[in-house]
Amino acid sequence: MTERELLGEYKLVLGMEIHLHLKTKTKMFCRDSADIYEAEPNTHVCPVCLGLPGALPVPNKDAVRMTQLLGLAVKSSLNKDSRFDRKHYFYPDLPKGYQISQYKQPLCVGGFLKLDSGTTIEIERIHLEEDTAKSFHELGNTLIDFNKSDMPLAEIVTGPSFRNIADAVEFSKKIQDIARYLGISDVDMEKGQMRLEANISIRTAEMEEKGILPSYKVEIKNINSFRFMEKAVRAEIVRQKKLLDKGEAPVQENRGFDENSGKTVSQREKEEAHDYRYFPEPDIPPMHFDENYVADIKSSLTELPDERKARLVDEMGLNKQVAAFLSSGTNINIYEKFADLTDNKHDPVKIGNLLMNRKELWSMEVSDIESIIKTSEDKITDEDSIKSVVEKVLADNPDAVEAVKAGKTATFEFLVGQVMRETSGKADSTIARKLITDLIGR
Amino acid sequence: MARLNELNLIDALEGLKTGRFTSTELVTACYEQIEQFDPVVKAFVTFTKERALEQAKEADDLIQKEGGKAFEKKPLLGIPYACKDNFSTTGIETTASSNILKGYFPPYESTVTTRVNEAGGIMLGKTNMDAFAHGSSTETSDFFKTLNPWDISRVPGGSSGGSAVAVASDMCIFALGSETAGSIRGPAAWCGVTGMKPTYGRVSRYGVIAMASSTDSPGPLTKTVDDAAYVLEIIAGKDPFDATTSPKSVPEYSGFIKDFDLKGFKIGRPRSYFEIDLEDEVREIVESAVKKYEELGAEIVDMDLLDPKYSIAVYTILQRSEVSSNLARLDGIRYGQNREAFGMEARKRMMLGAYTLSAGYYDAYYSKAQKVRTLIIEDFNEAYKKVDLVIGPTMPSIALKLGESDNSPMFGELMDVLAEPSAIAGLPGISINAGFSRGMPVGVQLIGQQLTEGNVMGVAKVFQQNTDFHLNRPVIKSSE
Amino acid sequence: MSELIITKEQVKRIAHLCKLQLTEAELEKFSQMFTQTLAVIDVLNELDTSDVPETYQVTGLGNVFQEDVEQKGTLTQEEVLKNAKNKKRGLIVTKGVFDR
Repeated sequence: MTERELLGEYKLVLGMEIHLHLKTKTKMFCRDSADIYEAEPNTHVCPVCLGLPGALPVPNKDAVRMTQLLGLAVKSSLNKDSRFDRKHYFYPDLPKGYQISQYKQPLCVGGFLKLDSGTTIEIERIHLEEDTAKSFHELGNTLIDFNKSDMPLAEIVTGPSFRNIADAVEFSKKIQDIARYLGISDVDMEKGQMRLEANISIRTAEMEEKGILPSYKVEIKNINSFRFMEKAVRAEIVRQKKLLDKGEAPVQENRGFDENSGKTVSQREKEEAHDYRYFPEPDIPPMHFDENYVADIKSSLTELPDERKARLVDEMGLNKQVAAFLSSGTNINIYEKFADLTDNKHDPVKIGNLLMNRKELWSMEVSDIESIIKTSEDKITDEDSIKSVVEKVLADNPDAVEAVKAGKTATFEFLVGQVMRETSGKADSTIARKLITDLIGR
Repeated sequence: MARLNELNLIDALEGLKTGRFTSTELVTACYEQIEQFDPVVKAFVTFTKERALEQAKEADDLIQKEGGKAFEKKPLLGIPYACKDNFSTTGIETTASSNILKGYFPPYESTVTTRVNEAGGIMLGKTNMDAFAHGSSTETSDFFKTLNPWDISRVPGGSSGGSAVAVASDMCIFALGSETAGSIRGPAAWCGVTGMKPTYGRVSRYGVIAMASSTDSPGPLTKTVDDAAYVLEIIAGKDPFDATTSPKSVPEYSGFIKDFDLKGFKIGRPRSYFEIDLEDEVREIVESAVKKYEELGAEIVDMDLLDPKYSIAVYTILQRSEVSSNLARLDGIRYGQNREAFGMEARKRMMLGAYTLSAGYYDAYYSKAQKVRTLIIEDFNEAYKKVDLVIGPTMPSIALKLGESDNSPMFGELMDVLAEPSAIAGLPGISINAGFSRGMPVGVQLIGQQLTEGNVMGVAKVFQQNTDFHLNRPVIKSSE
Repeated sequence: MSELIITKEQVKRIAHLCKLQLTEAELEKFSQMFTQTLAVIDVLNELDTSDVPETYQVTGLGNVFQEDVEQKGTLTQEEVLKNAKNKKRGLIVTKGVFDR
């Protein structure tokens, strides 16, 4: 069934929270190495991220800057005054019993991203926080690896801006591209470097017309792939529609998606448990960013994916497909070769097509690619020019011609070689062969 | 002749430098004192005797080899000290006198003890405290009560009670403590020793088990102000592991206070500090101290400071809120016991703190307290336009009898009323012995603006140069 | 002067927030203690703070960061596990907690 069919007469209201692991060398509030992905458990841990008594947090300068860079890329405004807050709840993967996050004064406020369809997605805020440890369940126990504890996370929060799942996926992919461009995150969802949370509710068409938001939203956390998200949201739509059809309002809660059953499952705790008792982090002095600082960050903002795509189409005449290929976040190194090759040198369209279609060029040095281009440009492809050379060669080598007529393939190759010699290797060999064959009359 | 453990820090260093005695002899003398009197007063929870004697030997070898030069790089070389049990000490049990941390051996060292140890200081053991520093009498230690060496039916004060007793009983040459509001100055006053609470941020909190993150200040308890200045020089200073430490350089306090000139110094006498319920003799003794300062050349200025009752409320809210947060990490998973092991006082404070932070109450309590905090800070700022220092009693009474504090839901905060305003504002304060009432020491405190430890200690030193209250030592009665 | 009473129900809720188990007797006791303590705190309402900003950092410091460079201090796996009651395969183990 399509999403429309699942919804029936209802309309989807979807909001996203995207967490990005920032690509810093060290963790958010301590200086353990952040290169945790292949590490043995509990080998990138110090008193701070283990939550030992007496340990204190000191924020990572680059993590702050990266978050602000991201904010600028999505047109957020950077708060002049920002600070960290403690967010309290108990869970084994949260060693201090609170997470250092941002509540009242996040680094970035507002912002937006335009989707290809023209729809604008409003962003509420982007804030910086520490990640929790990694835990999993086994035989009734919870096993914990603190390597991930205190990794820096930038969290993008959108409003209830999405009306269909595809838009949410597109938005997330655009954020991935931006993150790659800025070099602030590798956004590999399989490694957990980017995680999604979806806030889902549905409403009547009338409510949508009047701009009234539903009174509830259901949050699904720990979405680690786009396929998972689609399945989870669809499952929720089905569940919520059933309830609303019966006249029941879905409860505001957290739910998890169980891939085996294809259903969402309540993870609701008593409402009181979500009293996070936020208060300003006393161990970290506040942050102030003046105009010079903001100007400095702004100046380090390079061209963004959609800007590049548009420029390739509008100014360089590439078609949409090639432009999309070159501006993708996973093809930055290919784009760099393109930029080099077309910098007052070669024709962009030609280079664009060349790079897109020939995989083997992607790992080559620009100078080597240049040689290949030169060779192909020098090639003589004019049939008449080649024909006159072929005629000369055949006239000069009557015995060879007879041999070829008799079926000697080696001699044929000899004649091709002669044509190439006469043209200093520049003749297009395919055309040369065709002409030799035609003129000998076989 | 004084026994070696009875020496103050400056004299002990002199003795070691000149070869009059060895560090081994000094450390041994302290342990002898400990063996004789600690069973009575119970200041210590953990001893590190074997290690201490090894370190003493190393110190002696170094002094043999390099003589006086050894002390240039290691200014505390060979000096035995006691350490409050809320400082993380690598491989040595650190409990904050709480059952929940029984069996916890930190894998890292606090910045303060790192600096003391690198300077050559030799730790004798960890001292008893109110569990998690939640108290002003050391009675709420989960292990046992520490007794006041001046009168063992009385408490030593808290929460750095063990450290104060260790110094007062000459079981060490100096001790480390910490103050959230009154926890250094209070026990110093009740035990007749010098207790220096530095400016918040002057000394690193890294490794000190947190009570109230926004006021906790580690500091020294010593026999004299000179000793305090010497130790403070070594432990103070910016720490990259504590984001709230001051980047301002640490002055050479010892030199600064050496010939301190009191002439023209304006000492403020806040009326409200004397209008609270003080024991008569305490009031008299402190007033005498004030008069003494006048005789010595200071100008005493009568002034007003905000009624301390507001500070009690502000401090209770802020401290308990931060306590409830800081103790959230004790879940028994990575270390320690599970939360059932918390003592009553810790539970009380966590609960009240969670309440004052909870949704719907944050504005009325926590936020309101932080606003009144601003008023208290501004009040001091105004005061310091007219005076250089503020003087007052440290505690409203002499040391209480054991058990007097039971059933009071706010005993600690009420007792520490005179320390709370300066603690909330992060100001430095020192308590020194100003006399005796019913055989018990009475402390006078001096409070300065932020980062004026030099003045605070200088003015305190002048008092000690012209009186000898601080030279008194208790005769420790055995419990027999 | 407000007569603020904290009920046992409220105390129970707060105990849950603190992850503490209280007996019935303790709930009763705490209820009384709270009420007493809140009465003392109430004195703050005598002060007008409508235009007063909060101070949560008395040092006046700001923008304190560390450079993104590794420092000494990382513990060995053994040190990390040392104080834990239960461990297995380099991981710290606790009784299963399944909801969040």
